[in-house]
Amino acid sequence: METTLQEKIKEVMQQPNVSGVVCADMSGLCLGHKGDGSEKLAGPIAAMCEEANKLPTSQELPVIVVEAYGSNTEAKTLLIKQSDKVCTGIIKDV
Amino acid sequence: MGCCESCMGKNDEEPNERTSLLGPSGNAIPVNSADPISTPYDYDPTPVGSIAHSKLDEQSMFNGIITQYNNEIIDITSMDTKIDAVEYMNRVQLYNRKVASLTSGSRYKQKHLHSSGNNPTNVLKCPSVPMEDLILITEVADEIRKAMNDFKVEKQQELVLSLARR
Repeated sequence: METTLQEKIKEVMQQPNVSGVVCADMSGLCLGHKGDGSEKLAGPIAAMCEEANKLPTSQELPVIVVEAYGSNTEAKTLLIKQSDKVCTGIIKDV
Repeated sequence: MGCCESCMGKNDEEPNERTSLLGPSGNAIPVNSADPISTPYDYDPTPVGSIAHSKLDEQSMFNGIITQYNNEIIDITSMDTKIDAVEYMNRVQLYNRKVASLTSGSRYKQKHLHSSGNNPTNVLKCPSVPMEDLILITEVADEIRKAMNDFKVEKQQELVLSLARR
């Protein structure tokens, strides 16, 4: 039953500059991951979504962007968004 | 023929069915408030079973308990270990130094967030997140949410079993 989810993750990985994908539920359970998206990111992603939902914004859930610039690593961007009860994170090269 | 003891003027100190519980004024009369003129023989107008008697009994019982505990309790605050003000201040400084030395280690140091320094305009003029990235994450999140609808718990056997089967 996870076939559809895994296919979606593969499709996302084929997007330009995408180096990793991770999906988690609101409890922090990793539902799927690929590439640079480690399963250890599932918990922090879910926690960030829970905190971001407390912001007084419009009805749509906010998008969280985490930018990382390191001297030894390439610059990367982590995009996180919650949809219903699933949190999705995409790691992109800047 | 009998005689009426009340008509004989006999003072009956024991309560009977006609004894007033509250006293003539309607309130409980304390023991020592008897009128000395009307009671030359230390007559206590308060009946034995009145409320004032019970309160006094309770009070004496409490006093007895308090006295007993006062004799048994050892009060350590009143020992002869008083220190003067100079010694007190010295100890305060000593304890503060020890606490400062223990908490000055790296374990207690909190990491500070990176600051923009004295040039916040460099941070503010950084390019914002591209709109295409926002569209990408929004669409992907929606598609994955729909893919999650395939996750079901299939019932293959009874989930609740009875312990006793005969």
